[in-house]
Amino acid sequence: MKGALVLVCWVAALVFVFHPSAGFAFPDMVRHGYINCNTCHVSPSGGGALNGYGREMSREILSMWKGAEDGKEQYFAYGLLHPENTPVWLKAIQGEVRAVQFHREDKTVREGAFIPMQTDLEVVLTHGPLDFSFTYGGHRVKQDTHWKVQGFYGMFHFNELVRLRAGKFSITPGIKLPEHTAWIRRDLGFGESTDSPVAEISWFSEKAGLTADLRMTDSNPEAPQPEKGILASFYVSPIEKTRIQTSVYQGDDPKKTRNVYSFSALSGPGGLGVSDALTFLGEAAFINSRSKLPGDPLVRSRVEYLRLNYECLQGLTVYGLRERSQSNVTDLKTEKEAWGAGAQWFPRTHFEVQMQVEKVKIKTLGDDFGTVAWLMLHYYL
Amino acid sequence: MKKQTNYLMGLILGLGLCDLAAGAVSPAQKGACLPNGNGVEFEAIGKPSLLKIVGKGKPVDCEVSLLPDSGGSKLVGKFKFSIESLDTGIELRNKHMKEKYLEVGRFPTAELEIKDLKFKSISDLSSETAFVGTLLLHGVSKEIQGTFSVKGDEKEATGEAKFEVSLKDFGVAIPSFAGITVSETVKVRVPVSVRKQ
Repeated sequence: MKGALVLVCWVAALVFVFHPSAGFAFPDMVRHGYINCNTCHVSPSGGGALNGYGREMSREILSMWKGAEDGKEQYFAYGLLHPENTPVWLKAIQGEVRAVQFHREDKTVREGAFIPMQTDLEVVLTHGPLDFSFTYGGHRVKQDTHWKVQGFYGMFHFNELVRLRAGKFSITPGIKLPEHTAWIRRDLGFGESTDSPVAEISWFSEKAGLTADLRMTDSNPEAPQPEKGILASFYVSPIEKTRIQTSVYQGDDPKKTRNVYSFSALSGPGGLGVSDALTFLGEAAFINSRSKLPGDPLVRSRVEYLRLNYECLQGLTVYGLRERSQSNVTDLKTEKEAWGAGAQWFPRTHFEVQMQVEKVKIKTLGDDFGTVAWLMLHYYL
Repeated sequence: MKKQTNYLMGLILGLGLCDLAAGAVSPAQKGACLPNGNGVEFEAIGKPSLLKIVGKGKPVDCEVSLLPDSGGSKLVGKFKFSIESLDTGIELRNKHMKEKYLEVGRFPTAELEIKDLKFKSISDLSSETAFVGTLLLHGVSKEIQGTFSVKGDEKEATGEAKFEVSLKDFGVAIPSFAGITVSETVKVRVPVSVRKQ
């Protein structure tokens, strides 16, 4: 049974790759058996501040050079705050600095830029069953850096299984990839700077999870996310080190309504005797969008993402990548596809380096492949 | 995390069950576990994030006897398991589990003894059947209950034993690390392959 399920996952992965055209969180921690993001992160949806266990795992299983086992290096500010001296009301504190060197080249353009993406400090306070998180920092929007409270939430833990959260944060159907420029996030409208007022209830067990979000329109008329919506996500781990998820989102903004159906799978295919160093991540999303202008037809689009990771050494992962996006499935000219490869390196706790190169074809620009490459530097305190 | 060596299960039953299937009383038969079978597994839950921790180890060593009993047969056996062989996939976790909590330096093995597992015929054991045995773990000996199932023939049999262990019952401190605390009860699964001697 187990082998059959893993085989299905591999077949699904191959289908994604070869299907003919007519689609900060670290999701691949699933391969260590971590199917719930909140094992390592304070946020139930992953990303953001690490809890104490996440800090330990960043050293023990993510980093190439671990450092002393009984040291405090992995904690905030290299041990300035660690479990033995942290006040009980301070659940987590984490600073993040992230920047990217970007390069794009095709028939019509050749450009590059160094982009300071993020400078944040997240603080999570706790009292009994209540947590409160706020993130202050600067996010770059075009040429400007905006300094403000970027996001916040309050979370109430009813028990080990159920929690209620409300505040301003991002939601996403499917897997919360840290690469917000991936089409599976950006083309669905869940890329960067998508924090909005949200109320969320979630239930997790050791084998499954269910989350429902109510996304409200930001009262700021200049907010980039005027869309309100409802998101429901369900995932299950049918066999060890595997997570299969489905999400449904219904959105409504001043110009259109849309439904997004997302299906994703993450797996470390050790069950077939293949190395546990291999994982795959696949996601497909199907969107039905209807304009509010009378007479406009329903537009169906789809986005697909597939990635195969191989951890050749602890802390160093190389991967192959396939993306496809079609904004109107009835018009082949709206299709774009990308094939790429990358590497992710965690030399030591607090540090991350990632690089990726993709060959991208955008049908509206012709049949030639252009190149998109980036080098990302991430440091968290 | 504990490992329960519930070897009993079906392995031994496979031996000589054909004789018993007809209700015949046969002389005592002996068997031993094969060294190349699947290993012992345990599953524990870490809270509050409900992290599932799975550990795997070597196959058990066992010596079993199948004795005639009124109306059928009974199984007697001893099963031994090396705690040092356990692996949860994370080196630091393995170290804490073995050195700090299970103290393998003092208690390198776990042993389970079954003195009186009665059955009428081998077909009774193809579905999960309750058993009672004595488990020696972490220097503490206690009675435990579980289930097993077995399938096989006159020469070899394979089966599986399942049971739960309360860490406190065996004097094992509840493992806790970086905010994750393991639940008191651990599930154990013991695949067994037995060959008649």
